[in-house]
This record gives sequence, structure tokens and C-alpha cells, in this order.
Amino acid sequence: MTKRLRTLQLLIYLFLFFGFLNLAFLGKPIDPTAGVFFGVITAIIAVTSWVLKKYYPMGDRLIFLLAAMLCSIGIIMLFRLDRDTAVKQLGWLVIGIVMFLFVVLYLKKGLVKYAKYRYVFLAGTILFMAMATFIGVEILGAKNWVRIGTTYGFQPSEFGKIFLILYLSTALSHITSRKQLIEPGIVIIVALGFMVLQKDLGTALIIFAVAVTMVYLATSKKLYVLISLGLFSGGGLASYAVFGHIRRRFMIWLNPWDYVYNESYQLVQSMYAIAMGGLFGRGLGMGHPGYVAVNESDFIFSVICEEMGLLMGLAVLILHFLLFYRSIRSAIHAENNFTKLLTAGLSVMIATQALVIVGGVTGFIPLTGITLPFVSYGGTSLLISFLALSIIQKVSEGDEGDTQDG
Amino acid sequence: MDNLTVNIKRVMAIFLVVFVILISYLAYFTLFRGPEISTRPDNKRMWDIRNKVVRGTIFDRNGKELSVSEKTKNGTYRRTYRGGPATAQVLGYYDPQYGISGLENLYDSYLSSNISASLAAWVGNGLKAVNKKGDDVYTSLDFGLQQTAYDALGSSRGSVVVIKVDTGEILAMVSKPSYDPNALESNWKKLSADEQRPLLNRSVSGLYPPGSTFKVVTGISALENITGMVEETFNDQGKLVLGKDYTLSNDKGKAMGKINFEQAMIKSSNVFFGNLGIRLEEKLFKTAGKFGFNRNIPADGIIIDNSWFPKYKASEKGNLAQAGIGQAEILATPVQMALVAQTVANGGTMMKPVLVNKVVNYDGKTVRELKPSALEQVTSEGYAAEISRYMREVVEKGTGTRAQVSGVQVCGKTGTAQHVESKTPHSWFIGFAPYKNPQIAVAVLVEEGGYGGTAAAKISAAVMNRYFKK
Amino acid sequence: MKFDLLDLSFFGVLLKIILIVLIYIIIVQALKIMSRDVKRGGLKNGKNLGWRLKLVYPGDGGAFVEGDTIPIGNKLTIGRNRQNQMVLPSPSVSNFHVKIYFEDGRYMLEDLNSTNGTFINGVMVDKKSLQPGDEISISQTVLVVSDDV
Repeated sequence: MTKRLRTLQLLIYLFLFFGFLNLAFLGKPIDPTAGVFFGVITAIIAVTSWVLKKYYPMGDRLIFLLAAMLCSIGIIMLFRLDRDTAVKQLGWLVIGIVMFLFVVLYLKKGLVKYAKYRYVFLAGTILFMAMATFIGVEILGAKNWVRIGTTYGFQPSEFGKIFLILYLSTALSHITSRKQLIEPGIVIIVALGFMVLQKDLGTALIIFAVAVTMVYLATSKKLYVLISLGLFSGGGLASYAVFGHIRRRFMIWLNPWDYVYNESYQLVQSMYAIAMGGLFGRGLGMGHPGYVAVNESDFIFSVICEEMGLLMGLAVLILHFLLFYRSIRSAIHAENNFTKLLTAGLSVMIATQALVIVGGVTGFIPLTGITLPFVSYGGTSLLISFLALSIIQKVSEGDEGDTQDG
Repeated sequence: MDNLTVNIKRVMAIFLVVFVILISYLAYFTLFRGPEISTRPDNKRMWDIRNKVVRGTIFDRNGKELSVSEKTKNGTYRRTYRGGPATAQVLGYYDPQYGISGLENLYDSYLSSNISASLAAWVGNGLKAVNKKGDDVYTSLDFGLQQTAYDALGSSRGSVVVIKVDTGEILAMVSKPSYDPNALESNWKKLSADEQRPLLNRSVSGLYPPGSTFKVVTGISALENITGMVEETFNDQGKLVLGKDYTLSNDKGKAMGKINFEQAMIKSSNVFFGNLGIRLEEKLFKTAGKFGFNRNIPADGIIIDNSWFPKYKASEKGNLAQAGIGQAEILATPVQMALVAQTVANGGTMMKPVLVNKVVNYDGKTVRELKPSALEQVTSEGYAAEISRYMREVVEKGTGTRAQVSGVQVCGKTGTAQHVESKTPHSWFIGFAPYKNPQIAVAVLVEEGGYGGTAAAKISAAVMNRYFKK
Repeated sequence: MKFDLLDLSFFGVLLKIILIVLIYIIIVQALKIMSRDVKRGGLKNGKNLGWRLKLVYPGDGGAFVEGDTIPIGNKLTIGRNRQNQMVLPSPSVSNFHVKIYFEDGRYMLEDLNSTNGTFINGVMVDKKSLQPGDEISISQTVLVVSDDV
């Protein structure tokens, strides 16, 4: 097991080496920054793996390595797109991993004790979900950003998602009667409502998927899933009737080729990028990612497909599935309902996000602007992903808490 | 709550299915829809790739450059159309802003082919990119003939198609009104909004009632299906009464008296051929189909829109009669009618129409060569010869005397096609020459040109004169 | 699209293929590591992984001596009472001290409210899943979880 993990680690270094070698040769003359990047990322992965192995020999290091692999693909692509973005992302990666290790190493007492903060989580959920509605600024059609000063900003709904999952894990861990579902139900609807007001449909979709999954896990009732789906379709139809931007999204999805120069420009360019990439891609530095809007974040998948090929795109999806499998598997091994639900919720959040954005940029489902976890550029996104990962990692280690919860 | 573990496994399974669906879609999208999507004209990436190659040249059959890419002052390449308005629609344009059309579009993969240097050449050049040049396309067009046809059409709207009888090579294909492809940018707005549609290649996409030129098809069908056709006589009283309020008349209602098949063709008797239409019924539909109506005619370098011959019931006498003289709802492209003439001239065998003879790559190697290929034996040599004889007489002493060319035995059939009642009819002429061992087949259409025997026949004469007297 | 050697430098072509090959080797490697769990998950009721406990320090181990291995089976109870499957006669061991059982693809250890407690890797536990290499201390006796089948 350890030996295989070591081989895997070496393979990842090899991947990084060839990736940055390729990037180095794109510059004329040869670009030494690529070498620095290779060194730094390799060191980050090596140190983190070593720490995990030393302090938690039985923890699941594969989870971290899968996420590290996704980050590597992302940073290679970002480096090719824009040096400054890649440097910033590397910085965020370091911060994210430090936070990851902090949660894993210092929150030793077990997660279950946090189950009592139910109403703190509730307050956090409402606060962060609502925040952008009142003090947000509109970016790319969605009013989901909050500015701090002039240069910094963040997406409060990203934090809202984590709080919602924490809240649901406590609220649903002792479900015995139907009445106990009313409060969480209201919270979910309020959160969804704020997302619709902020025109952040991607996050709304993720919240919905996470909430339905968690309710199902806690109650084992398929009926609730069906009711939720019904309500969601009803809500969707209502928003379709009320909001012009939702109608437009839908129309673009149905007929992307009718509005190539206007509304569906972004989607169509993304589809061209993927189509032109073919099986093996045009090669790093050989495509035209410039035509793809927000190519460093929402549309990074299209750019990866264009330059590194369909095969790399599929690999990203497979890695995301393996990460999901591995994460939710630690939920099975968790020892109490709170941590089980928490782990499952976070795993579903990351996986759904990957599915929604990849489905969106390929025209499979209506496009919504969210990031591809671990791959896309974005501080908030990366931190949240690593925070979620740290909780999953912790559970995978056999979270030794009080077991009053059975 | 005991089921939590089981439930988690179910959720896992559902996500696995969703991931597999998305992966399958992505693979399908890229591999199956990708190639088609990539070639859409608004795909800027394709232009970037094309622009890395010096686009190949389009030549006429005599080696005259028709469309070439020339270096501009700022180092980029610009397409210059030496053929000018005469070849505008058939060769098309290539423009990053307005897209790509005509032969430029159909042969784009050759013209912008970027495998112009072998690996060895590349290594030999010190691993530096060799100047890349797309393949050259040699068309079958004869630019002199093309220009003559273009000039002959004058200010009229219409089309001229000239096909080599034994090979199916297209020697000329003109459509009017035309435009100057070299001034696309300044005229684009006007061109794309123009109701006369100068960008449209009327030769392959214009659909017109063929009028009396269609009597060639009706004639073939009659010979094939009615025994003793040649000997039959018929009393033409100038009118064919088909019901209380429907009659079919000859031009100006002229009664031709007792005539046979041959005289009916020469004088273009509507009464006679209308009667044949009723008698042939579904058989005429079949013959039209063999000539290419209602189906996609395979071609190279052009895409021919389907000509149209509806299937009428035996009770629809009026329509059947009209169909016999190429009216009713029958619609044909000029190239379709040129192929009718070509088939008759070629002993009943229709050749595949081709616009390109060969494609030559950067180092002179022929990468594609088109050999003449027969599409179908439409009718027997005997019937074709019989109709040829009548067509010779049409030009010699019938309605098509204006198509005569001194020293050449021209054959043909005129047509005056009604389209909108209040408007002047379209003028048609289809024909070939010489009578013995025919070399070229011609179709001329002049929109609202009046009598086929006048406007269209004259243009045919000019084109044939140029071909035989150059 | 035609394959084009000139658009991409030779290195480019080579490297893009290397990267794709590598990523799939990585995926296969990850799958190999995971296949263990899949096998484990595929076990039907009544089947376990066949792990054993290895006696590293017998203490007052009764009939057991150092180096003995005790199969866990589906359930193993340890205590002073003779009804236990593994009997440790030391007075500091409770009558029914601890039980180890196989559930949901893993081994669970559950302390049965023993007087002196059960320790895993030096930490007193009530209920915990076991991993290979875990050191279980019951009174003086030290057992190590082993997955050598």
C-alpha cells in the first residue's frame, strides 16, 4: 500500500516535470520560471504527504494525492494562460494546504463535538447566503461577489455552502420524525431563494443537490427526493417565467448556434475549443484559449480540452470521480451520523460542482458560472475545496471523538 | 439511520452513473460532433489555422490564375479574385469576416492543406518551419468561355452553363447579377440585403419552371413508353380543352393542324405535348426522375439543389398536361437542364458534372485527379439520336433559329416559361453542338427574358461561337 | 483535422502524448490502490478479511505466549470470564472486557465498560475502527492488528 502510494507520488512528480518542461519550451528563450513552479509544487506535495504519513499513518493519503493531481493540471494550464494568475494560484494553493494541514493536525479532538453548534451554523448559513444580495457587486451577470477594499473580493456563497452542510449535518443527524425536517427545509429554501436573487444558478443547483442527498441519507426516504425534485422543477418553472436571465440561459442552451455572435458567444467558443482539441489536443501553447471567456476559471475545462485533449479532459473527470468515491467512502467508515453526513455532504458538493460546470461548458446542461474544484483559478474556491477536503481527510483517519452519538 | 451506510452506497452508485453519462457525452461531442462543429464559418480558430498557410491557387483549365493569395504590404495574405465578377459565385469567396463560399469552401481542405512539407524537408531546414503552401486546384472552367457567357448575358439576370458532353466537365458556369469579389468589404451590406441575390449561384441553386425545354424529357419519355410514337399524327387545333374552365393553348393560340411528333417538337406544340403529359402520366414522372429530378445529382466542386417534378394523380389532367410542357409546379436548375442536353448529346448517358480536374500539391505532385464518370444510362442511344435529330431541326428551321452558328450544326430546344402571370416569362435555351460528335452542351436561362427563341438562343449562339471559333 | 507536424514542435507532440500517458498511468495506479477497498466492500455478510491479532507482549496472558496469532473471525470477545473466546486471567481484566467485530467492511473494537479500559496506540477508546498495525493494550497484554492473511 505504502509502496504503491510512493509510486503514485513519483508519477505525479513525473507528470509535473514533463508538464513544466513543455511550458518551459514555450518561452523563448527557455523559461526558468517553469522550473521554479515544478520545484515548488513538488515540494508542497512531498511535504504534505510526509506530514500526513508521519502524523496519521492510517489516514487516506490518496484523497490528498488525487486533489493534488487536479491542482497540478490546473496550475499547468494557468501557467500557460497567464504567468501572474499562476503565481497567485500557487500562493492560494500554499495557503489552502497550510489550512488543510492545520485542520487535520490541530483539530485533534474529533469533529463530533462541533455538532452542538447547530444554531451557529444556521446563522452562518443565512449570513453568507444573504450577504451578496445586499452588499454584493455584479460580476459576469451574477451578483455574488462582495468586495473588500478595492482589490480584494470573495464569494460569500462559497462559505455559505460549507455552513449549510455543517448545519444540515447537525440538524439531520437525529431525525426521528417528520416535524424535525421543517426547520432544515426552510433553511434550504431560504438559501436557494437568495441564490436565485443573486442570479447564481450554479450555486443554487449545487445547494439543491447537496441538500437532497443529505436529506435522503438521513431519512432513507425516496419520497422526499421525489418531492424535492418536484418542488425544484416547480421553482425552476416559476423562475423561468419571472426572470429574463433564466429564460435566456435556457434558450442559449437549447439553440447555441442561433446566437453565436451574441448571447451564446461564450458557450460556442467553449464548444469550438473542445471540438478543435480533438483526442490529443493541439498541444500546450498551440491552441487559442484567448477566444474563450473566463478561461482561467469557469471555462478552464474547455481550454484544457483544447490544448491537452479530450483524453486529459476525461482524466480530469475520472480523477474527480475517484476523489468523490474515496471521500464518500470515508463517510461509510465514520463513526457517527454527524461526521457521516458532513463527509457525504462535502463530497457531494465537490462532485456536483465538477459535474455542473463541465456539463455546462460542453453544452450538456444549461451553463452556470461556477468553478471547477481544485482546477479553476480562484482563492475562495480553492480554500473552500481544501477546507472540505481537510474535513474529509480527518474523517478518513478514523475521527476519534466522543461516541455518545452511536 | 441504520441505513446510512447503505444509502451512501446508493448515492455513490448514482454519481457513478452521472459521471459515466457526462464522460460519454463529452467523448461523443468531441469525436462525432466536433469535426462538423469545427468547420462552421464563425469558428475563428479555423481561420487562424488557415491563415498559417499560403492558400492554394485556383486555376482555369488553361492554367490561368483565377483566385490567388497575394502578400500585402503588412505581410499578411489577401485573396485576389482574378476571375472577377464572371466567376464570383462559382468559385466563391474566402474572407475571415464574411466566411467562405463556392469552390473555395468545397475545396477548402485542399486549398488550406498544411501538410506542405515533409518531415525530411522540415529537418533539412534546421527544424524551422518551412513556408507552407496549400494545394492548387485546377478547375475545368474555360475562363475565355466564362467571360463570353458573362458578357453575353449583358444586364439580364440569369445563368449560363456549358458542359463538355463526353466528360461532364463544366466549361462555364455564370450567374447574374454578379458582384465584384475583390470589393466584398465595401459592398457586403448591400450584397447580402439585395433582393436580386447576387451572391446566389443561380446555375446550381436557382429553381425555375423549365417550360418547353422540358419537352426534350417528355419526348424521350414518349419514345420509350408509347409504341408507334414517331408515326402518330395529331390534329392540333391550337387548344386543348381539359374541362369547363381549363384549356391549354399554343403560343398565341395558333392552330398547327395535322402534325406528327417531329413537327410538334420543332414548332413546340403545347397542345401535342400537353396531350402526351396526360397519356404518359406516371411514366413521365419516372423519366424525369431518371434525368435527375427530385434527387440529389452527384457532382464535384458544386452542390446542385434538387430539381422538382411533382407526382400528379391521373385525375389531375390539367397538371399532367402542364407537366408535359414543363410548367405546372415543375422547377429545374439551369445545370439540371444543361445535363438534359448533355445526356441527349451523349447518346443517353449522363455524366457526373465536375468543376475540378485535378489538385496539385506544393511540390507538383497530383494529389487528386478526377476521371470522367458516367452517372446513369438515362435512355437508349436510339431515342437520344431521334430527339437529337429533332433538336437539330429546331435550330435549323424551328423556334431556335437564332441559336445558329455559322459552320457548326447546332441542336437545341427553346423554352418560354411562365412563372408569375403578370410578369414577362423566363427565356430558356438548351442545346449542344455539333450535331455529329457533340462536344459541348449548353443551358441558358434569362430571367424574364421573354421568348426563349430570342434572348436565350442568342446568348447560346454567342457562347458556341466563342467555343468553336476561338 | 489532419495531423500536423509543423504546427507543433516535435517536443510539443512528444510531451502532450507523454502527459496523457502519464495521467492514465496515474489513474491506473490510483485504481490499484483502491481495488483493495472494492474487494473489501464486495464482501458478503458472514465473510470477513481474515485479520488476526498478534500477541507481542503476553502480560498475564494465560494460555497465550508471545508470537501467538489469534484470528478475529466475525467476532472476538476478550475478558476474564471463561465464556469469552479469548480468556485473559489477569485480575485487572474485566469479566467481559472488550469485543472486536467485523461490520461494514471493517473491524470495530468496542470496550464493554471495562474497569481499566482498552487502549489503542496508547489512547483509551470506547469504540473505534481498527487499522493494520494498531496496538491494542488490555491490562498488561499487548496485541497488534495484523492483515497478513
